[in-house]
Amino acid sequence: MKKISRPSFILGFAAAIGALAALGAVAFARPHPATRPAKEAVVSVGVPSRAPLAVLSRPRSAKDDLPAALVPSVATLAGGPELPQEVQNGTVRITSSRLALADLGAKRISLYIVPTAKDRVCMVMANGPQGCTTVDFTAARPATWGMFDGDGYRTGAPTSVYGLVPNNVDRVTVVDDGGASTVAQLANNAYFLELPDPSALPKSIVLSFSDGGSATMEVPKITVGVYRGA
Amino acid sequence: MEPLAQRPASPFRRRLVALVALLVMALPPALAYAGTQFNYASGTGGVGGVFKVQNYTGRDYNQVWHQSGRKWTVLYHLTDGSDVAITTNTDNPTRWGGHIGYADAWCNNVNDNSFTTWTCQTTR
Repeated sequence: MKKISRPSFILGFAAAIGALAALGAVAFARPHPATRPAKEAVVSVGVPSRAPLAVLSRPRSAKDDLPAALVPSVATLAGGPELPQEVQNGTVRITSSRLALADLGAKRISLYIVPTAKDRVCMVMANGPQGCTTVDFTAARPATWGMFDGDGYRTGAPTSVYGLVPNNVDRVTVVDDGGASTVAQLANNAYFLELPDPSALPKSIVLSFSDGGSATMEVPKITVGVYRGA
Repeated sequence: MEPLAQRPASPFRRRLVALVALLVMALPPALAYAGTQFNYASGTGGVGGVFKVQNYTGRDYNQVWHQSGRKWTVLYHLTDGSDVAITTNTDNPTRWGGHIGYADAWCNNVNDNSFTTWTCQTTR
């Protein structure tokens, strides 16, 4: 039998200890306790189209490709097997992505739409929000909405509002709590807007339908993450 | 020539082996700890709840998996008390996909009163 040198034995033993410690470090990552709940917000209704999103059936071009740096994180939007089945989004169809809106806001963000194997749709922005949703729009849920702010709500740069709309929406207006009504950029089933006032937050989102109808979605009052002064 | 295993080790060589052994032991857990995704809160219901890691470090993203259509907020909380990289939406996951150098990670259940289990995750 080949004789093992003393240094090799020591290094091998150390590597085994290190590997065990690494397993311990991963196992140490456990959920932390929760705190108390508050009350719920309200959404008003409208009459949306239930047809599949038109943007996903238009021909693709090279500009619809996700930036290479985004692909790994977008792929993880499928969700792992450790998550409840209903929360998993299904395989993200990276090669079916569409660039919905470009050069958005001061940071000239691009907004991509990517379908999944479970017929959900993911909205993706680099270095910002990324997530998926069902697009079975109803009167109670005529569109989706989200907002984000890199430097905190009500301070610094303005808050951005975005979402997905059904095919028959031809105008999206965001009413903020500073009293302004601003028309959002709208194309390819997606809308985006930077609020005109950096201290404002959206109050409601008004959808105008191409058949003349409209729907208003109330945005719940946000209290967490809001700047409270120096 | 005398085989390496039988040659008496010099003090310098012994110290070198000890140092390398120490590094081999310390590096894997350090690498496993840094950048590792972990769940920092999980549950059902809890509308209005704010869930925190309660630890400051570099993070690659912050997200909460939940029933699509329910509103959640995720943010990075800084040591000076301010909040950055905030997003509130009904998407699943509600995710901020950007890196931060030193922050706590929080998730906030705005109106998810479904029976679906939600899970807040970040990296350390």
